[in-house]
Amino acid sequence: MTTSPSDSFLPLSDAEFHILLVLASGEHHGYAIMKTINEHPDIFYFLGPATLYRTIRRLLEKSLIEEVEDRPDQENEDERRRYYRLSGAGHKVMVSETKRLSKLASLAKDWGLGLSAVS
Amino acid sequence: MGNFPSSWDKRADLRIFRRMLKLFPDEFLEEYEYEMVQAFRDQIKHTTSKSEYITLWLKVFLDLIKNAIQERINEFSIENHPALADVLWILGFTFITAFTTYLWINYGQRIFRLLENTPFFQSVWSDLAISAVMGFIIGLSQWLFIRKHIQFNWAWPFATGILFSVGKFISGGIDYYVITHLDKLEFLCKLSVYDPNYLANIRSYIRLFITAYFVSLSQTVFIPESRFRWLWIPISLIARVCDRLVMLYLGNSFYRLGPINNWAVFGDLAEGLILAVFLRLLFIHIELENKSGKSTSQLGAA
Repeated sequence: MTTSPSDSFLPLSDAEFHILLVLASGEHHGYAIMKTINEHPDIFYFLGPATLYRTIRRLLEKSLIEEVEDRPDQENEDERRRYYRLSGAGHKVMVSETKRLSKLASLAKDWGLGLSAVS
Repeated sequence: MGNFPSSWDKRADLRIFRRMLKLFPDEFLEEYEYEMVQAFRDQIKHTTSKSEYITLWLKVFLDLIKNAIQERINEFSIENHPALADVLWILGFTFITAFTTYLWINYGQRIFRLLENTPFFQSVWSDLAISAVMGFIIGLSQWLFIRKHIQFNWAWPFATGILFSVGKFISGGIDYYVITHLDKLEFLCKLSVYDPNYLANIRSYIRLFITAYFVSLSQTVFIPESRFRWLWIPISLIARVCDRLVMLYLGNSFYRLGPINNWAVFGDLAEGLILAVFLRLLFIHIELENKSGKSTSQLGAA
């Protein structure tokens, strides 16, 4: 089995995966990430402020996300809010992780968990 | 939809939240305190019922406690305490060197007893083979600790084993010469009158020095270039002598508690400790030399 460099980050923790998932849709500040995760009807995961910022720091250290330096639309926003976006490496890692989870889902289906009936 | 509780003073929530943030290390708060308070403020602001408010506080409370503990544990990790890492390294090297030596001398050599009634065991080569295996095992235990710092690191245990055997062979030859020729000399006989073990000790020290010399000489090749690396040879000789002296001292002082060989492990610990302290200092020195070399070359390039 061949492994790519992005595989070395796998598996992602729940917090890492959910934050990267939200950032895959675009740039967001911390509260927006938290709100999206906590209020989305299909995501059964609570993200608190402490977990959020500890995970953000870890993702920044791994260069999977980056802080947005120059945002064009800042007028109505609090200037001190920090925005984050997915980096190139982060995108590759998310693709790898999503593939891994898809394989697990199809494995569960093969082993008779009847996911087709659910969907 | 009105937020709950509309008349509630949010500053009280924020004050409690800020107090709880003090559980986190300062370095983390410097970076993220403002954002965390801001995010919590927004969360509280958007609660719409009493139950939502209480649930949020419970979840945030658990989230803060769990993460603060993890952050404190990380803060106390080895990477953040280089001095502690040095001490643990030295203790680890000391223990593993002494332990493998002790284990080999007391139990490992019994493997060779299986050959006792065969021609192999009777020949001179059996002793050399035992020495080679012992040297290899000691070298292997040392290699576990220093493999990141040395060149051709896989060669360290092999060189230690082979040169241990060579040292034993040469020291055995010299020892034989001493027995057959030098003990007839008058001055040695006179000394031996005052101390019956003197000659035996001289012979044992000769054997010890020669073996340690060959082993450390071979190991020096693998230590990265440094103006102090040659010190590994005299330090190894000193460590071997200390090993013997500690064993003899304890054996003679506490002879009632058991035979002298019972104290060998303390001698091994003393030897391991000397080697560990020197090696750690040497590797720190080499690291600093490399860093200053790099910065000098960068300055030159600039």
